[in-house]
Amino acid sequence: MAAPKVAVVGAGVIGLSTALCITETCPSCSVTVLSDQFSPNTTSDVAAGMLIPHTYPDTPIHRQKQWFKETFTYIFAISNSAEASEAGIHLVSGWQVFKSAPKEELPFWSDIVLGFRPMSEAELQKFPQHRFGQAFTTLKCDCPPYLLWLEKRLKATGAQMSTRKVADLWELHREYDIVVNCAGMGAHQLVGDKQLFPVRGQVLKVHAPWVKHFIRDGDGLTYVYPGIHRVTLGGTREKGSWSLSPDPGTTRDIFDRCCSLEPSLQGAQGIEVKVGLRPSRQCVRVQREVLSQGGVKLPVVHNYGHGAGGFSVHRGTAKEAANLVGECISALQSSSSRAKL
Amino acid sequence: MRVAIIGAGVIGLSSALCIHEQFHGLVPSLELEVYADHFTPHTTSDGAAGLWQPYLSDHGNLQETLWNKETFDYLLSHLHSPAAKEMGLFLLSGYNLFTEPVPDPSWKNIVLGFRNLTPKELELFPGYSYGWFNTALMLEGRSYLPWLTNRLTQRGVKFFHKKVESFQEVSGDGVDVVLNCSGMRAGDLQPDPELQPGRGQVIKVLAPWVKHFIVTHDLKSGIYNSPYIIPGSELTVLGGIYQHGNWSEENSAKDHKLIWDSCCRLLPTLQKAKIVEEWSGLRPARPSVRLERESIRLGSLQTEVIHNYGHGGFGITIHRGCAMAAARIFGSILQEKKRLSSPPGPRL
Repeated sequence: MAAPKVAVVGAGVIGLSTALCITETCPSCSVTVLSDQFSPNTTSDVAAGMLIPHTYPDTPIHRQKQWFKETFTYIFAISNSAEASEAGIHLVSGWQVFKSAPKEELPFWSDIVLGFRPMSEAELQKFPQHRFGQAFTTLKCDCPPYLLWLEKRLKATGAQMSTRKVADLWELHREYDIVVNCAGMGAHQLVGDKQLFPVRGQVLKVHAPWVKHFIRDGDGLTYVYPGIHRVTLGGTREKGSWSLSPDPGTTRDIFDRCCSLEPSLQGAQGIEVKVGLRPSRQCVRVQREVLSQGGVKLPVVHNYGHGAGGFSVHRGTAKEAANLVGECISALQSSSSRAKL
Repeated sequence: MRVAIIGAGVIGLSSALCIHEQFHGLVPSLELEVYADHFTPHTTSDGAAGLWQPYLSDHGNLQETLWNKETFDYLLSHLHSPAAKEMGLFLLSGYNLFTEPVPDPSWKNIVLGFRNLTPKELELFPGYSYGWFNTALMLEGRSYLPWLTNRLTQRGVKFFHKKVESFQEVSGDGVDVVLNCSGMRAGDLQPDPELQPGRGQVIKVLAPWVKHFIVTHDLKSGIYNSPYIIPGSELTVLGGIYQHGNWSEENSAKDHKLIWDSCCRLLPTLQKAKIVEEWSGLRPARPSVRLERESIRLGSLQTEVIHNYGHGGFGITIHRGCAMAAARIFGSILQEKKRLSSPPGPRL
């Protein structure tokens, strides 16, 4: 097979990073990213992009840890380079605080982030409503800059990007040899995955440049994540809600909750409200499949269902998906050589 | 009772505020006047980044360590107040980097979360093999000084834009107590060979992706002669110059290059940062802070002078502790004056 033609559906952090990994593992591949939305209109653009993993109930912990470690290492290297600011990557320190003792004293990722340790009594004084806390330093991938940087890296490899709404993967079988499904929430429609469900998140992006630390309530519902230009205040976790319209009552509630974590936010300016649907699943689907229709086969690699943890594991799952694409290519090559016999 | 404060940097303004807060109720006739040739944003305090961090060692000067602690605790108690933003006060964490292990600093238990750096963290800083991480405070002069000025103005304190050439100039005018917070220019009022400039130069850039302070140390070159990066609320301050005895307040191209090259080596992504400002200032350096009372006889008059100067590169770090100490000295002066001026009683 001369130059396998790979289509990647989806241009959020998963689609773009998967496409990039494919160009790295298979330099002879011709890669095209197809999506109805590109940055700044993807779900990834709504997210803060913090590298703090979400735990998937049905994915083995060692696999999640591997994905996170791979992602953290990759982003850490960019943060240490001259490209960091262009890529929207920066280190950020802060605290995860709990009103009641957390289920696990040490999350599985505590040895991957930097300087993880319990907060001292003096530090906890800053959070009078909370009794326990963890301090650490992690990384943040600001969007749009990070997505735009991925797009730039992709274009440099010769990969193409095209705005197109793919309604059915079979639309692509004539033009492409392999299809990679990174459609996020779109996979619900695209491949009819009923295990995939939206978890609606509303966030506020405010101007509060004196806020230099992240603060996250251990319940995952309230958080303050300082980015390069704006601070993301969150949030909500509305399971099953498909609404992309901002809710004013929710805005007020998020603002109040965040101000109780960080009182200085009262002075924040320029509140922008955004909504994203986390493409949630009990386990991330990173899987190979061969679709079959009327004697025609279409190799597909799925990489979707990252829910609240997309940024934290994006590179790890992208690499795994790229390896699966490699397997698809080998399978195609061996079957085509068999055909020649 | 008239009190003249000479100097409107962080030391002068905070001393004035402490005195007014504590004594205006007790001394109804108390009138405070601030005299300065430079006001915010043209004082030394305005040029500083505003990071609360004492020098590495207090050289056994426990008093200064206590003043530093008093300042930190005072600021921390205001962190959640509605005034914090206006004061230019916020928490900031970061790194102190060394090329060899060093003893823990006197302030390790004053700041929050003090710890050594892990090997992984040190990977971020090639060339440095040891370091600390802690959470400290930022108090930006460009916000704090206006805030102090507003508080003082509200209290009826008067301001005079004037270069005071001698203590006589104010004491001869009927002023009872003079607070000498003249910083680098204290030598003009009374010679002090121990007071020397510690010239600094900084480049202020737009680099909002920097969320930590990074202060490197070269034990051979001395304090602040090694690159540092301190992110403020708007601009990030790049520095690393300390020239003892250099009185020049002109920006030096050679120092600019040194700061820029060494900071970009420390944080490569700074190369993309836009340079917004450049500034040089003189740290009023002294082996120890001069915080003491002096009775000065000027002709037929006796004036009490409270000296509060020589805070080097840690003025913001120590200001509140010193202001409170100056206020205590003022209190003892008041006590004496009251005793002296009280009418003879029926005991005679």
